[in-house]
Amino acid sequence: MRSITTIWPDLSSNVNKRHRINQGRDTWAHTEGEPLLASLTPRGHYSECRQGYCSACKTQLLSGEVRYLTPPMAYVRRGEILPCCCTPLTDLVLADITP
Amino acid sequence: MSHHYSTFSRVNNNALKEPMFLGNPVNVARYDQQRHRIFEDLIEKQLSFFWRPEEVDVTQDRIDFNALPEHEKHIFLSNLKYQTLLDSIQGRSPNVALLPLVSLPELETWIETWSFYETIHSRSYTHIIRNIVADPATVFDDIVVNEEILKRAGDISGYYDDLISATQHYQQLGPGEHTINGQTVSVSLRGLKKKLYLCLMSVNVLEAVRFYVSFACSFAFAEREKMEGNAKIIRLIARDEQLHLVGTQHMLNLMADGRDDPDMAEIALECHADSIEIFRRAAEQEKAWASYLFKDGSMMGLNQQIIEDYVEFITNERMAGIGLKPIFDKRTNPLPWMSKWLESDAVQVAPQEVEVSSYLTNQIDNEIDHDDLAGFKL
Repeated sequence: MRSITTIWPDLSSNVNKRHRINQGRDTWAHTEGEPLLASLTPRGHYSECRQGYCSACKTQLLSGEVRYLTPPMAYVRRGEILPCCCTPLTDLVLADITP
Repeated sequence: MSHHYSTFSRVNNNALKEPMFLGNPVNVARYDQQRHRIFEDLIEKQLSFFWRPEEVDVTQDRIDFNALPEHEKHIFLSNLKYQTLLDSIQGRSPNVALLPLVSLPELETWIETWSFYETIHSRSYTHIIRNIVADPATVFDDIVVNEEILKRAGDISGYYDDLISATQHYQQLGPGEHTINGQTVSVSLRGLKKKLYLCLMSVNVLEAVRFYVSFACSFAFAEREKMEGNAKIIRLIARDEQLHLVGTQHMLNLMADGRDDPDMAEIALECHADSIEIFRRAAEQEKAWASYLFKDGSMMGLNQQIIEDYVEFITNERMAGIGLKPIFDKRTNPLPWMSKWLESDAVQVAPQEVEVSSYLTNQIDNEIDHDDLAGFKL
């Protein structure tokens, strides 16, 4: 039988720690533990399902590290992240997508 | 391996070593192991989304519909007709076209699950239409004679029909030159794989782009608190379609990245220009559809220009999803309010901490108490 894994909130991580997120000319702080999309949405970042399956919010991570709160179902290539279900572990640089 | 199809292949194969398509036919339907785990996850997720159209009350929609101006009735019914066409195709074609070619049990079941949900969508259109018009036949009968809808039907079903016909030749006659009814037909495994790839690309575009003009109109009505039962159903359909889209994106990406059948990685490169063309044609057709929808007038919040911009925006987004470069100018989302209709619940961190929308169908409250009417005076 396939084992069922439940992802529990990782209490040992740096909850409340804030990381610097940079995207193009915009830089802001984001609290670790919160989905990254929470601070991208007000900046006009496109998303749909917000549950990690539709892949609409997919973005390029140029540097930094993230942790997934739930495993993404969308197809994620190396260097890509799904902001709706990941949270930063370090400062991040995201690809500039402004039109 | 044989080119014949068998409903229970007696080849003692290792399903973990089969490609997604055109290896040995599937024998044992087993889900304890997967070559591509994603399809197992998609099945589970899709099953958790189970819903029935009758769970959504659309009685208020009839009142709303009768009060709509004629040009808005045209927009509403035309979109329903178009969606009926799309799901008529999708409710059968993945089964007919893909099941004879599939080689992995998890993918076979995903295709069946996917198609089954499209039949629920078709049934929900009957549910809606039956509730808003006196004679549903006037709506359904128009679908096969409406020029604007037929223009799209050819492109959508063409790739499926091509693949089905090539599969029949291949499975019956095997590779080689054959004379069928006086015509010479060249059959090859490579040719069949190419048709399969293009068919998947066309299905991907159907789910990624073609549904979205209708979705936008349905949600635009509901933003004005009109046709809200319909919007609830469309929202459930949109959620399923996002999942189906991920399924085809995975198939295409696994092929292109060489993580499945090495031939398919080459074919993906060969079909690069054709793939872009499939997206471009669909986007153009959807824009033309918008001009048909709005021929007698726009609706509040939407007009032809906004829909055209939205088609370009969503086409670019979906192309990026399978690693293609955008073909239209980059722009921000012209319909930002659509997002709230397209999102599921917030990310579920621990299952017991959140309400999951998968369990939240049938939410209309029909309970009424004397006190509810206490404020009324006759």
